[in-house]
Amino acid sequence: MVRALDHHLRPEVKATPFCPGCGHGILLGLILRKIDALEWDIGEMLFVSGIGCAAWIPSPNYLADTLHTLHGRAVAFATGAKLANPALKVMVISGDGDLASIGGNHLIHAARRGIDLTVVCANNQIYGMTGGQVAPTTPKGSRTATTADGNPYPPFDLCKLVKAAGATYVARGSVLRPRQLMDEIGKALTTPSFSFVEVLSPCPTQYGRRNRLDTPAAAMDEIRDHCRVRVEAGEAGSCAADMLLLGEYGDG
Amino acid sequence: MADPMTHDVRFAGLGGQGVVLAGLVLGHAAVLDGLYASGASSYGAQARGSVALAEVRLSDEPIDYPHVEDADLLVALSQEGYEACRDRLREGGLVLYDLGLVKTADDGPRQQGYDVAAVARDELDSAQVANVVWVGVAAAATGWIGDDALREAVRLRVPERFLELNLRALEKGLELGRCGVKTKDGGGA
Amino acid sequence: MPYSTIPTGVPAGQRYMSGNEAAAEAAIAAGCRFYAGYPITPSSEIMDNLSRLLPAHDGAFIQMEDEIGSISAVCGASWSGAKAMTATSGPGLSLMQECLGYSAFTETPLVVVDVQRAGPSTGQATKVGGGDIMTVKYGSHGDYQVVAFAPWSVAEMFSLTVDAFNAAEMLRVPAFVLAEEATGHLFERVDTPSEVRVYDRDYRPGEPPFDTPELDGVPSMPRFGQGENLLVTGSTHNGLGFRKVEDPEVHDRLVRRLNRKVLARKDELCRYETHFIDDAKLVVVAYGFTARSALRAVKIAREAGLPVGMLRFITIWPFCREIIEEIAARDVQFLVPEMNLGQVADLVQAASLGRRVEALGQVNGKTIAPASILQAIEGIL
Repeated sequence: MVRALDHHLRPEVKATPFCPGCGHGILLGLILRKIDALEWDIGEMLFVSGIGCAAWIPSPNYLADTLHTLHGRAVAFATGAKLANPALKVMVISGDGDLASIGGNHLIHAARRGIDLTVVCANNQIYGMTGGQVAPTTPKGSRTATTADGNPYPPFDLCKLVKAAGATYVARGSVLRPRQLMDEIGKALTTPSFSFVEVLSPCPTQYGRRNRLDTPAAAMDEIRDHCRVRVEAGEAGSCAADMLLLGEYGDG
Repeated sequence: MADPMTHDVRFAGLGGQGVVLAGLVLGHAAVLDGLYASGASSYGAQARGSVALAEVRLSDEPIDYPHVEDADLLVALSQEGYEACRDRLREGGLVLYDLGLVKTADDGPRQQGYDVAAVARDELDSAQVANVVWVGVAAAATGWIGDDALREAVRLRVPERFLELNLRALEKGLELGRCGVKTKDGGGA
Repeated sequence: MPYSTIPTGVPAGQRYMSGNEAAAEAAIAAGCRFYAGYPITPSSEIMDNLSRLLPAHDGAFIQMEDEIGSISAVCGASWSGAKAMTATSGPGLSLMQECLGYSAFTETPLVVVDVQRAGPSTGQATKVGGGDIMTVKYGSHGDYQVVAFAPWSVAEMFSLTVDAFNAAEMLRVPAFVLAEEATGHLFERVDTPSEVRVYDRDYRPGEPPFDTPELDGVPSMPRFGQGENLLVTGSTHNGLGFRKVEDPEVHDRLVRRLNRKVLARKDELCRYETHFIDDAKLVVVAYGFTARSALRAVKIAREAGLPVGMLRFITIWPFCREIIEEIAARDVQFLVPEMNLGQVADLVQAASLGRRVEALGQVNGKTIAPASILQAIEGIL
C-alpha cells in the first residue's frame, strides 16, 4: 500500500526517522492518502511544521513545498505564508508540545482569527525528541523525564481549547482508527477557515518505556483503552477524567 | 547662534491643550508655503496635567539641526508652560501668552498677551480649539507663514468632523494676531 | 542586475511627515506587500500607517499576538513571495532574535525597522536610546551577517527603508533600519520621489535555493507555489534544503558562505559621508540622530578655528572598519558620541590603529545636544 504513495514522497528519502512503533509514520501516510483521495494537487499545498518528531512528518518526506520552522512557531509562519499567498492550501503538522506549549499562544489566536489553515497535531502526550519530558498533554500521574513521581498537573483537552478559541472544525482521532481519522483529515482540509485535528499517536520509546508499556503494542493498547468514541460516550459528551473523546467537536 | 533665515517656535502648555497639534499645523503650513520645517514634541508622563511642548523650526534652507534650543517665539498657553520655557528664549525673542491663564514676569522680554482661551470658550463655544487660535495669532503676529497655507494645513491635520470649527478658530486667531490685542505694557501691537 | 525603477505609489512632492510615517510610505514604495507586527512604543505609528496603506495597495497586514508571532509570519510571507517587514523597539527586538537567526540561516529576506528607545529592558519607553547596535548583529546565536542602516533624518527614514529592502532582497538577509525615537517621532519636510529603484527578487528556476558554486554567492530565491518543492529548514542543510545535521563540511560551507556573501560586498554596502576631514586632527564619528548634533557642533568648532572634522556612518553593519583605518593612517584622534556606552566606539577603537578614541556616551533618554559634543571637542583640541 505504501508504494501507491511514492509519487508524493521525495525519492532521496529512503526511510522515515521514526522509532519502531511510533504512530507518526501511520499519520504521514494517511495524510497523503487523503490528499490523493480528494484528488488535490499537492503542488498547490504548503506543509508547515515546527520542531519535534511530528515536525518531521512533512519535512523532508513530502514531495511538496515544506517549511520547517522554529519550535512553537509553525502556526505563525503559516499565517504569514497564507496571507501573502491565499492561493496556497496550508497544512500545519506538528506535535503537542510544539503546538500547545511553546506554540499555544499562536495556536489560539489563529483559531480565533479563523485563518484558513488545517492544523494536525500529532499528540503523543510527551516531548519525544528531547528525551521524554512532560508535555501539556501528558495525562496526570504519568511518569516522564521531568515528572519521575508522576505528572502532578492535569493536561489540556486540546480540542476543547481550540474549539473555545474559535476554530471552525475540530476533531480528535487516533492512528488506531485510520479510516475515521482519514475522514476527519478530509473534513479539516475541505473546511474553510481554521480546522484542527488532534491525532493520538503512541510514543513507545519515551512515553511507553517510562510508563511500563513495554512494547509498541502495549503503547497502542493504552491509547485504545483511554479513548472513547463520542457517540458511545453519550450525548453529554463527558467521560472520566482520564479518558479522551474521539470524534468531532461540534457546538455544545 | 541665530541664522536670520530660520525661525524657532515653541508652543508650551499643559497636556490636553492641544499643543502638539498646534506645532504640527504650523510646521505643515510652512512646508505648504515652500519653506523647510522640522518639528518635535515632548510631554510629561501624565496625559493631562504635565507640561507639553511643541517645537518647530522654520527656514528658507534645509535645516541642519532639527531641534529648537533657544526660541525666537514662545507661545505660552499655560502658566506652567511659560515658566518652563521663558529662559529658553533668544535675545529679542517674542513671547505670546494667554492673558487669562498666564502671569508673566515684569522684567520679561518682548511680550504680547491675547485672551485666546476666553475667545475660544466664548466666541467659538469650544475651549478645546484655543490651540488652533494660537496658530493663527502666532502666524499673523509674525508674518512668517501665509494664510492659505495655514488653512490647508488645518484641512490636512484635523479630522473631518472638527474641521469647520478649527477653520473658524484659525480665522479668529489670524484676526486677533493682525489687530494686536492688549499687550503687557498697555499699548497696541 | 535585477533592479528596476518603479512608481512609488505614494504621494510625491514636498511632504511634512514624521520619521515613522516616512518609513511606512517608503516600505510601500519599495514594494513591501506584507506586514505583521505588534504595537510597541515608539514604533507603533509605522504599523498603524501600514495597516491602512497595505490593503490600499493589495498587500496583507496582520497585527499578531506578540513579536515572535510577528517575525515568524514575516518569514512565512517572504517565502510566499512577498517583500515583508515588521517594526519594533528594543524589547520586541529581543523577542525576535531566534527568528532573525532563522532568517539569516535560511536566507529569508526581510526588513525590520528598530525605532530604538532607552534600555535595557523596559527602560524608558517614550525616550530615545541608541543601545541596539549590537543586538541587531549579535542578538541571535551563531555566526551570521546582517545589513543595518542608521538614518539621521526623516528623509533618510524614507530612503534607507527602501535601501534596506533592496539589501535584504539582494543578499537574502535580514536588513535593519536602526532608527531612534528621535527620528521616528521627528517631523521634517521630505521631498518624496515619484519613483524608486528597487531590487527585484532574483529567482533562477532550477537552481538550488540554498547554495551557490561561489563561496560567497547569493542563491536563487524561489517561493512556494512554483513547483519547486522547497525544503526550507532552520537545521543545517545542503543546497537543496535537505537536513545535514551530521556533516561537518556542509555546516562549515553554509556558515562561511552566509558570512562571506555579505562581507565580500562591503564596497557597495558600506556607506558613509565625511565633512571637513582633510585637515582634521580630531574626527568626530557619529551616526543616526547624534550625527545631526555632531555636525552642528563641528561647524561651530570650525568657525572658531578648530581642526575638527566628521565621519558619519550610514551603514552600521557590515561595519566599515576600512574607512577608520584609512583616516587613522594620519595623526588624528577620534571622538565618538553615541546614545549608548560605546558600542560603536569600541568598533572604532579596534580599527583605529592605536589612535586615541574618546567615547562620549550618553544614556539619559535624551538626544545629545550639540553643546555637549562641542564641549568634548574643545576639551580634546
